[in-house]
Amino acid sequence: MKKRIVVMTVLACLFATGLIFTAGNWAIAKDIEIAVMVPNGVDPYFTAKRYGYEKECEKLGVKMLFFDAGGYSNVNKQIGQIEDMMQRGIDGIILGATSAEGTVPVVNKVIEKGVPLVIDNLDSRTKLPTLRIMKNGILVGQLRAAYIVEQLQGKGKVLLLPGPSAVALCQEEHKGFVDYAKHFPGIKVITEWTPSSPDAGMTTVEGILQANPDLNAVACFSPPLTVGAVKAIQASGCKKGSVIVVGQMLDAGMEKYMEDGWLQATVMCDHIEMAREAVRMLVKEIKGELSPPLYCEIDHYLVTQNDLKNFDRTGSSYPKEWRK
Amino acid sequence: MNADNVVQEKVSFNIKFIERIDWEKYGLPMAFICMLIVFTLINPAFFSFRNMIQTTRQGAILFLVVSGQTFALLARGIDLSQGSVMGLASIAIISSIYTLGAYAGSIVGILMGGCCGLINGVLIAFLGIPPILATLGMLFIALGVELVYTGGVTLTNLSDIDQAHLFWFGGGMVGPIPTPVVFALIIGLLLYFLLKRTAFGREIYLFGSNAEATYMAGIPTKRIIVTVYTLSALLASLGAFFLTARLSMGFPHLGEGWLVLAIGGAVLGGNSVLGGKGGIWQALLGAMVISFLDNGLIVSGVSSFAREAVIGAVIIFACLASVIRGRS
Repeated sequence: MKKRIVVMTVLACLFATGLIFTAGNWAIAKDIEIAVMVPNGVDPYFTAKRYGYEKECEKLGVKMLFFDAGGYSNVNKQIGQIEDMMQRGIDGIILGATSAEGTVPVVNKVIEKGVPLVIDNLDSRTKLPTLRIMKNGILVGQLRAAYIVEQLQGKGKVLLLPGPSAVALCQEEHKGFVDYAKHFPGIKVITEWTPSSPDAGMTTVEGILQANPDLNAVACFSPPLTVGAVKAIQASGCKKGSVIVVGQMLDAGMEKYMEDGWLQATVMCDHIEMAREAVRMLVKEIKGELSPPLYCEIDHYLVTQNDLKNFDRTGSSYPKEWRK
Repeated sequence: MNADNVVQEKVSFNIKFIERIDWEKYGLPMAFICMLIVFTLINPAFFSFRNMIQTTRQGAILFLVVSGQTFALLARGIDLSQGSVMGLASIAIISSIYTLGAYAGSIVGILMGGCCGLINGVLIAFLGIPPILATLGMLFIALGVELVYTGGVTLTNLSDIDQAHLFWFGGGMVGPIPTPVVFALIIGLLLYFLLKRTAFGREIYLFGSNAEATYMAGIPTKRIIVTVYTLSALLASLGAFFLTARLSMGFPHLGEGWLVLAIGGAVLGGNSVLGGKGGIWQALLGAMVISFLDNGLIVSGVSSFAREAVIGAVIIFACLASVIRGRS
């Protein structure tokens, strides 16, 4: 009897030890699940970035949940999405904020709760330490301004469409442009804050062209605004190249406009590679290999009609057959 | 007769003249003309031929969407799905053009948008779901469908031939008149005839005034509801078609912001939110006022922030006036 008890006890201990080890293995083998939150998924910029997020998640074996706030004005919706993910116990969040100030309270909650967070491009102005991978909005604005000022030889009227006013990146791009242009007293800048949609761009540029038939250039925040601006210029009867258009990225048919001479230059960055890097940073933070604060900035470059065919697109374009 | 008596007589004549004016009928057209004069005085470029052409082009598109909303309001309902239907129609049109060509693809895309209205009508008429809820649900369904289908991708890359054919509808001219204006006028006349000269049109007004009496009179009310919401979505899809044609791209959120303008335009023009009162002429007035107001503010150099506030204030004022008129 005593012998049986001893044998049973030893077996039970062995079983329990085995269970502990295998349970530990299950914990390690559990998939990492991250949430990617963008403010305006239909903007071709974020559509392209989605490709980057997906591919890097596939490569790292990470499960991705994608959330679109549906517009820069939908701050409450994005806040709700973030809170839902915290409730779900998500492993990490990549966030492109709808509003720099409006998302601060919920972002603070995320950081205080210890949920790994990477802010991607569209900043939330939290003072708590976090990981950031950002465009340099000031530099983007300056690049546009520098090109236009050079083309106009320091004298002319420019319409600036910086996009939605609540977005930190738009504010920075606006500042960069205006601060550069003010060094050239002959350059007059008209600013129109609009939603990032083609019909808003078209209607606004049409009206401004009527009031300012001597308009020399238009600088646009996003591909939809650029398309709208080009359409308005075409409709106004202006000759190709008589109004300089400088955009950002080469999505939504912009490449054709550049080939045809309606779009003169665009500020590029490797936004798909940026998305991939955001995923890598977040996974490292989840695994404890990276700690906030960290601020990474990506490069920007100007592409014009002359170098359209020759620049490296690997970090900024996705295969045509991918359409998700 | 002394000078005081002459002045008194002139003042009382003026007051009687003002009282004799039918403000309900002529108030908004007079305000519209005053607005045009004011904007022209601020910046003469406002009244240039090119600006008028461009603004009427945009106004024609808005008129179609407002007309659709008008039908819903006349039937004492509302259609909250118009903005999403516009986005869905835009995507459907370009997607269909890829396989069917410009003309057939456009028709298929427009009809697909119209189907959303048919579903709305069936939900309201046969399942008894209130219009505000049914169309709110369709708002999200249409938005979801277009995003799932496209993944948020803007649809471009039309062939040169298709693009040329399509562009004529949105950006082309018929003589000196923009193409959308021509189509909007024809469609507007047909809708006017439908509402004012047919029995079905009278049924819509009767239903909007008193749904129960309409039912008790043996008029098929379900048919009215289904037709009204189908028309609303079809007209929104037509508006999306001309906008898509002009942009030569399918943009998933194309209708963003248009719902507010549609409701505001319909009410501003004189369509009652309480049903049974209004029409296509009111829709045209409302659409033109909003289009020219927006354009006038841009040309006058008013900032985009202030423009939003002005247009919002005008719409609120119009809604208030509509409610007060309805109560009196």
